Amino acid sequence: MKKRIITQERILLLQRYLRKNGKLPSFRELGVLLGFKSPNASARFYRAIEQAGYIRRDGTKLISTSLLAGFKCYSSISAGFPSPAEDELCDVISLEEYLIGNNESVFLVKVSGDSMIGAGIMPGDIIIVNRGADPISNDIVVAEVDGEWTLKYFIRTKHGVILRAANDSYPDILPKNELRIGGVVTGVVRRYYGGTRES
Amino acid sequence: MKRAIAHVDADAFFASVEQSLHPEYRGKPLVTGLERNIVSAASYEAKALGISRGIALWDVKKICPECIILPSDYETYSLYSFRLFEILRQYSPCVEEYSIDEAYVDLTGVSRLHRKSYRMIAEEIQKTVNKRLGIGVSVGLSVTKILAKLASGLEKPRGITIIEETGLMEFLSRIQVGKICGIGPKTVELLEKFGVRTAGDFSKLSEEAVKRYTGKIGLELWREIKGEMVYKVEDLPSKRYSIIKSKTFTPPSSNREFIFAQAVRNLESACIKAQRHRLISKRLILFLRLNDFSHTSFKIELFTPTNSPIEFIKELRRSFEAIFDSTKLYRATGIALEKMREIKEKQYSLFDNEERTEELECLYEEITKMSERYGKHVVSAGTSLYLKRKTDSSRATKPIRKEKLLPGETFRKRIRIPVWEIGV
Repeated sequence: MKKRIITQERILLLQRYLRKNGKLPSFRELGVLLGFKSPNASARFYRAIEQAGYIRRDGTKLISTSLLAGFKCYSSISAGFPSPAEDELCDVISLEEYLIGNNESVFLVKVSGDSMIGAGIMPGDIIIVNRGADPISNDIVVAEVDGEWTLKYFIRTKHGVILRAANDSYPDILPKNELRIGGVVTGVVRRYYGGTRES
Repeated sequence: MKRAIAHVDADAFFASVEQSLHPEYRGKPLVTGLERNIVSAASYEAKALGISRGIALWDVKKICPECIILPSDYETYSLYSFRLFEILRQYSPCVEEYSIDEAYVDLTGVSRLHRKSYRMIAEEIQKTVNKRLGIGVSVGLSVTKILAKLASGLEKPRGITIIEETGLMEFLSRIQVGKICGIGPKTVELLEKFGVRTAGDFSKLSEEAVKRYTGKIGLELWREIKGEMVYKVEDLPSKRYSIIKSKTFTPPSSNREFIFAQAVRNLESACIKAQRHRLISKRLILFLRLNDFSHTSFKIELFTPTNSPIEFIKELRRSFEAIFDSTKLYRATGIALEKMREIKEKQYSLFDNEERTEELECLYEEITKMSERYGKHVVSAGTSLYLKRKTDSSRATKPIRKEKLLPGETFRKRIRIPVWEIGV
């Protein structure tokens, strides 16, 4: 007897994964999730649920449809007209994805100085740094200049690179000996406690 | 090359991660392992002074008083490890996570995809890892896994070593047989008796001789170093989890109840972790480490998998009595829960006591709640009365990542992104 490819249990596992990670699992991850031994089995499963309308294909990318992503477990079911808002939930990304994406070179750096206040980076903020990325002019970078680490705008001019603060009390830095770009700043996070201080 | 298997091995991994996150440590002798008083990793600067894995920190201070000594930050090392493997997967989908800091990558055929020679791919892997993570790796490239691993170890740090099939015999004759992964000191001794000193000598043995001297595993290694693939790159991670909890006590003891209480404490810690990750197991291994660093162990197999200490404790006592020798001094106990699996739909076997299982679940749920409020092990087995009141030395040995939390983080839960300690 042929085993059914699409089972309630598998769909539930997939939904749980989707809700937790905000994306569909890769072939390999799907294998781990559903206990497939080969990536081929994952591919077959995806083909099957694509035909069933759980996912669709955008070029080579697989996207979950509302049939999969829009499904939610409520403790009670509200009767009446279904909310169209539910349908829109399939194309959302998590805050983590928005700030970081799928990036192996992202690091957090706690800011202590005030040289980038004008750019909205305050002492105590956490910046998100893409380590090893190559900056273009006007990017904010962390750099090591003559042995000191600094957070500045990276500005390319005819005469070379300038590191400029977003704070008038700091002069431009024209690296003399050595300039090592540590990474490019891609975001800043600041958490306010809002009265729910954790111990 | 008919096949291209790369073995990517991080250089002094834990120490390199620390140097990557703390630029001020670069170029300096550094070791990790403060929490257990022995070196678990040494930077190349420390290695140059003769400091190596496993030596006591006391001796490190004698060799080099200014050596930086840090507690291990396994959480961050795991994040780096995960990232290392993700970077490798960009070059080939077939990556085997062999240990926390090494992986096999099957590059066969991908040189067409990347339009580069295998050597160039190896160089690019090394460069990319260094650029993005700030750590060095050594790459070995050959036609089998054992040869690739042999190669990566030859030119550390930051080496790229290729062992080609042409000239393989000549190459092997320059390598000591003990360098082959899987051939330990005992086997080396044995082989020496038969005049086998180099890997070349080993490869020239007849199949029968290899089988007789080194058994089935040796035969597989023999095939591999001759360039015949026996081991495939296993790209699917094993779904088998295990949890190991172990603790050393000072001074060493031969007090039966105290040592058993230590083992029970390990069991409880392991079970707490299992409950947190919703894993259950029916196989438990008890380790007792003697003062001379030798150890004894005992395997316990239950009927039904569980994560309740109570279910294990009776069997644990029985096995403890079987291996404990009160004339000897012990320095550590350890518990391993093996072959763990996730709790799925409840499936009771004929012999299960359904009611009891559910009762225990409720019990441990409540204990967890209490622990969250009053601290770990607030409710524990009665044997814990034999434990000495905790002298809190753990404080100084917490990794910096757990000391300096970001706003909103707790000691238990932190953002899964490494924090780069540069003062900006």
